[in-house]
Amino acid sequence: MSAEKTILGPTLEIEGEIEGSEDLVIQGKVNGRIVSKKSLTIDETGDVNATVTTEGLAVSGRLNGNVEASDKVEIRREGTMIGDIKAPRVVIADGAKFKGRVEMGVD
Amino acid sequence: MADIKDKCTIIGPTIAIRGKVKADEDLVIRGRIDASISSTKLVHIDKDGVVKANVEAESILISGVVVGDITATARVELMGTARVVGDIASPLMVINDGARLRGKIDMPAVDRAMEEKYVEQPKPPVVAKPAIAAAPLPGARPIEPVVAARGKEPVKPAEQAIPKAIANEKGTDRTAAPQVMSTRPGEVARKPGSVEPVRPTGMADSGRKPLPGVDTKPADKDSDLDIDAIVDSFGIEPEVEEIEMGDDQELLSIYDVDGGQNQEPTQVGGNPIVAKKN
Repeated sequence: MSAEKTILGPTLEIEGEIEGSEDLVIQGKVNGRIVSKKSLTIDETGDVNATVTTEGLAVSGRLNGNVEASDKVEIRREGTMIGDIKAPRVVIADGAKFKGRVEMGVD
Repeated sequence: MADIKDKCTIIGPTIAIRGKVKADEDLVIRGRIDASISSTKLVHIDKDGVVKANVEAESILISGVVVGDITATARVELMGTARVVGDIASPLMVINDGARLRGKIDMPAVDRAMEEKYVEQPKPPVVAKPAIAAAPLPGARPIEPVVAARGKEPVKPAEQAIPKAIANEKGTDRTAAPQVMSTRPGEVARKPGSVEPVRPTGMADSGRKPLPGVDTKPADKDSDLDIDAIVDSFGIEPEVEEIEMGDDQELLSIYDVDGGQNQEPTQVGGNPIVAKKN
């Protein structure tokens, strides 16, 4: 495992808070809060119900919660997201499902 | 340890989790988990891993730090770098040389067997094993300190004994590296309800010579050692409390600071037999 990446496998269920300074891939379930200084990826099997603060976010699974990213949020084709996004760059791919507000900070 | 390759989750060193974690796959922890963990497979707390909560899994391999109770359905192994404060319950238990543990160990599956085997034929198989933590009280001798402790001011002797034992323990017990404790749960059998793994850790060497300040008079059949009293006499309990209450930093620092002094590997069921003997 590259030292700089943590994958939370599909059978993993976490309730609470996750904090990290490395890339994080979620394939399981997370309920609570996620704070990452790097990228966060929610894989297709991932089911996240959390408030997310991160640098970059990519959603291929399901995310329910507000997101604040310092770089970019991407909702991929397979992804579903419900919640508000606050990020300088937002990408919503064709086929993705999204419901919520987007704020790209036009300052 | 099982293979950490295939299907498993590795929680990296910079990850911190608070709350609850459930898994049906092998879990390797290199970060910091303040979340109770329950897994149906292996949980490996790696060298840099710190878990401050209860852990339940089929098997648990500890190379890092765990503060909390540990329950395994199959086995628990403490590697040499392990630092554990908490009670352990597992049918099979291995403590490797160098591991530090403070807490009780309960091997329920062994209770019955021990009752039959060890209780009747108090042959000291334990003594033969130069286990790491050296059974605190190998041979008949060990009991003395205990008894004495009860009668008088147990604290004194105990305190003295600890440093000594440690000194000896360092480097000496190398041979006992892989210690399978399952062999001597005699004690467990004796007091199923309250096994006190925390055997006077400091007495590792007591078998070699009587502890200072302790009466050498043979223990009487009051062999129903009051383990709690013993533990108290070593001031172990209180420390544990502190540890549990302290904040994380304190916690960790404790390991570094006096890991070598207070956290020697504890022998499981170290002297059940002995007790019987006397």
